[in-house]
Amino acid sequence: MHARRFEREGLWAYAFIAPPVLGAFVFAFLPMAASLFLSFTRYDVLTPPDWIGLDNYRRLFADDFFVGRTALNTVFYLIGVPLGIAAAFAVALLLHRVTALRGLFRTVYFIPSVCSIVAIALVWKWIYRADWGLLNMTLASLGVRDPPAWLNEPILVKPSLVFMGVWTNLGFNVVVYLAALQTVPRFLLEAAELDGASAWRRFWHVTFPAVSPTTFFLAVTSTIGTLQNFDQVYVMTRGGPTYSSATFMLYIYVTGFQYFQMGYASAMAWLLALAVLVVTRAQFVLAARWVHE
Amino acid sequence: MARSGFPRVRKEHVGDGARRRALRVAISTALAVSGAACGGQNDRSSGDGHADKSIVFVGWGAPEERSVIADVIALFEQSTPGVHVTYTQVPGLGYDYLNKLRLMIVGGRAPDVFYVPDGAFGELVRTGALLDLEARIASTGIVDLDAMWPSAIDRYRWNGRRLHEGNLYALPKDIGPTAMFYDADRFRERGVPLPDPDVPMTWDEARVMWASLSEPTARVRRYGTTGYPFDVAVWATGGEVLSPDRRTWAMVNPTAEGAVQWCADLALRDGVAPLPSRIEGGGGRELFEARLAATHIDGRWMVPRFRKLGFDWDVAPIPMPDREHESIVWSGSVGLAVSANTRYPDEAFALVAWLAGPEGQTRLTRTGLQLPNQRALATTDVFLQPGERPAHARVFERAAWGSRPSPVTETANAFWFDVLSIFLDEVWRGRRTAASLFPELAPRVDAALRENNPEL
Repeated sequence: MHARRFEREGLWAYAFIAPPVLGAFVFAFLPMAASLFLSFTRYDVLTPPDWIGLDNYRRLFADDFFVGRTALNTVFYLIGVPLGIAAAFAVALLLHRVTALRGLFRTVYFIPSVCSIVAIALVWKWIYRADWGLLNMTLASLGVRDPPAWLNEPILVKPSLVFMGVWTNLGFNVVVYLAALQTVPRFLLEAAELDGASAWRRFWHVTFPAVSPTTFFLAVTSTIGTLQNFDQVYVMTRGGPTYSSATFMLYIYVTGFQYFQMGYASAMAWLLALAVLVVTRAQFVLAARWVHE
Repeated sequence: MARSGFPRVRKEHVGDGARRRALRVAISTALAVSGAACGGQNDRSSGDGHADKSIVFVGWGAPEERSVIADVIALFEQSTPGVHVTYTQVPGLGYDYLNKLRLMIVGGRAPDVFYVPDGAFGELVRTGALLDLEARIASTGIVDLDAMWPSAIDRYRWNGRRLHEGNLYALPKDIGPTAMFYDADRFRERGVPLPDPDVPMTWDEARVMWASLSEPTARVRRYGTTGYPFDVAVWATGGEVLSPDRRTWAMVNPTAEGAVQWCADLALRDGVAPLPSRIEGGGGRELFEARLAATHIDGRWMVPRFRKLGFDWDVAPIPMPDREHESIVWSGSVGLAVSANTRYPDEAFALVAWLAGPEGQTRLTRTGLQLPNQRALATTDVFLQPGERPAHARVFERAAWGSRPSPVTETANAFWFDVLSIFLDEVWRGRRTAASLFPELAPRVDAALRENNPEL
């Protein structure tokens, strides 16, 4: 009797978990398997794939100048991860102390997180415009002669996009930190204060370790997001000038969807997946040294 | 260039009722013949005895073009009973359109008829996405290729290995030769004589003119020109961008290097053109529109946009190295292609023929965007549009004779051009000279050419 009911409940359980499992299988695992297969082929989408063994991977590592350039660009964008986390933490600490207009401040900081990247890009393109951009007009009014073309100088475009990225992600990171700050045990802070610890020591020895799991979470997700950065670069610069702002992900897109080299693009995607895996694993290994459970 | 040998057609002749009726009969006959041959298994018979066939046609363009296209389609539907055309206009520029088109093709939902920009024709035809139109052109007789610009037609040929040769896989919707747009008010303000609309000035003359129009040290900098296309400079001096077999990049020689360096020096040495870092978004066009550049080389498709400008402007031929070199310019074009997987190839072809024929071209030309593919039409008021800018629209018609498609149309995969453009930036910014960079760059460009175009 019990066994039969258990069987029936088990069937119901399977029925309930079937949709997400099937969804993951059809929309994640199958495409992954297909792209792994395609990475060993020459495939232009409209004609059947040709098996070429490891040629795509050989080309990736040996011949393709742009793999190196876009990979280096992507690594540069990782500068934005610690900057973004530090900025978010600083803002969250301030907002945590603010009592007046708290809701307003939190809303204002969160607004960029709910805006479309295209809308944000339009605003930042205007800010960065060389001739009549907000930034350069301000600099010119302060007496700066010939302010630079932020998005059109190979050396300036990446820092400009990093700054924009920090601003765009600030709201989400701040909200996560604000939630974490509310879980910092008050008794520890009070005990430290009673023991004569300065504000800095209370922050460094109590608050920062207490929110370290949040910092770790943001570090991992921001790093993965940065390694897969596509939309920001696509709408802001399309990778220009001279591919100096192009990310590896953008290069995958161009290869696959502009030049129809899906086999090669699949090989690139697997290389990126491997890079994400290695970096994330490294973060978990290093986390043992500074993240407090 | 034996231009005078071609018949000139007056405006009223083009829209002539007898001709329209003849064309209708021709299309109907062609459809009847080809439909009978194909068996018509996809046809659904409607009440009036005609087959009810729906063709999906996708293009891009400005909102104001929509009504013109709708008008042309309505006429087509009247002349071909039983065929219904659903037109979708993708908003925005060609780049977004191409992304959508590629995804539609990849997803197995390619439209029956679609625009294919000449720069993307190679990649699409190589994948087998386009229907070979050659047999239908020959058998139906409704397309008069002799009436079109040869340069406009040949860029849509493919022989399975090389582009610009072999069978036709698209018909030109238009041809967009480039010319030098100039701000006539600015010329008058500076006391500079207006350029001759008939004779191209020499490079030396142009440089003197641009210098007279430039204020490179003023607080608000003004330039004589927005730049000069390097491929035109190479062609004009007798060079080529690719070798005849298209397997190698052909610019490692003093002629091509000198031509490219001349273009770069307009900004670097002479100060008559902006540095690349000062050209953003819409390219030099925005500088011209903002009256910060007195001249700007661009295509006919800019005319409707420039007509909204609040100053007097006109067009002149693009300057050439000297009087001995023949005038040569770059021209863009949009093709009309039929999907290889269409259920109604004959009807789709008939629509393409209609749009590319005198009827369709007469109406499409009224948008002001294009030089018609029909040569005779280019000398009529339909194209010249007296009373509207530019006053010397004939400059485009003359330019079409000496125009060439962009080098990117010469190979199915144009990634090599991306590579070239990326490294050329070093020359534009003055970090390298063309002569020092090109020998070093050649292996990279050649590798990109061969790697991505194995059929060559």
